Amino acid sequence: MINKLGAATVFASMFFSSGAALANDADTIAKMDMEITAWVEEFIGEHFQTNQISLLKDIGMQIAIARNCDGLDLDEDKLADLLGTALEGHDSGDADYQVVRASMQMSLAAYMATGQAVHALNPELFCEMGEAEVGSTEGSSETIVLTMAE
Amino acid sequence: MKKKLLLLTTAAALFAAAVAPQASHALTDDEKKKLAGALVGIAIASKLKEVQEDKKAGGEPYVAAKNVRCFPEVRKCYWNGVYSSRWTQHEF
Repeated sequence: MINKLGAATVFASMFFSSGAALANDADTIAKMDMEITAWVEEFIGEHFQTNQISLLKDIGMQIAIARNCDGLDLDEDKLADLLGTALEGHDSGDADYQVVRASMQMSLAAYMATGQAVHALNPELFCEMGEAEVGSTEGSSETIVLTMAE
Repeated sequence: MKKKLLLLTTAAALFAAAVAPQASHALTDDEKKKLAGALVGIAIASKLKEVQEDKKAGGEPYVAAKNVRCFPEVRKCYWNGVYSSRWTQHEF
């Protein structure tokens, strides 16, 4: 846990030059997220469709939430289905399949690290958001793989 | 959404009570107040939705729900600054 938190703080410090004063500002956190996301989307864009790119972010962030927040878990069946959707259109026989898989893994890792960084900056807010993703009746639950832990 | 449905239902019920042929009594002051409140609520909700749709179409950030801001340019929504899959999927 200490190592993970340390890594997340280092990661966060790459994007925050003014320290804690900015850390609690919602817009600043969102801006950091958007900047990383734009970079990842550009990186993987040629291999995936728009909905798949969006799905990878949804999955990566929720894995970060489940890993960091007590009481939240992942619906592994739904997660497997969504990962399948994210890879739709690609076949293991394709020449670029390894590149596609590596791109997917890298994007998931980047989004998980972003989530980890947000958690390091404001753990309560991050986990409260995870609970809202599970418990809310508003919005769409189509890509929600988080569940309340049993 | 539920609030809007409740307001619509209340307004519809009060309107029905007001115009029903068998209604033999005029609206009480309390009923009139409730009807007026419901209608104002509906008007405000419609206006807010309209503003939201305009901003979305124009690519401007907008508030989709309490504490939820969406950014059409990057097709993402954030709950108190934290990325929300639930709202992003709903809005985009």
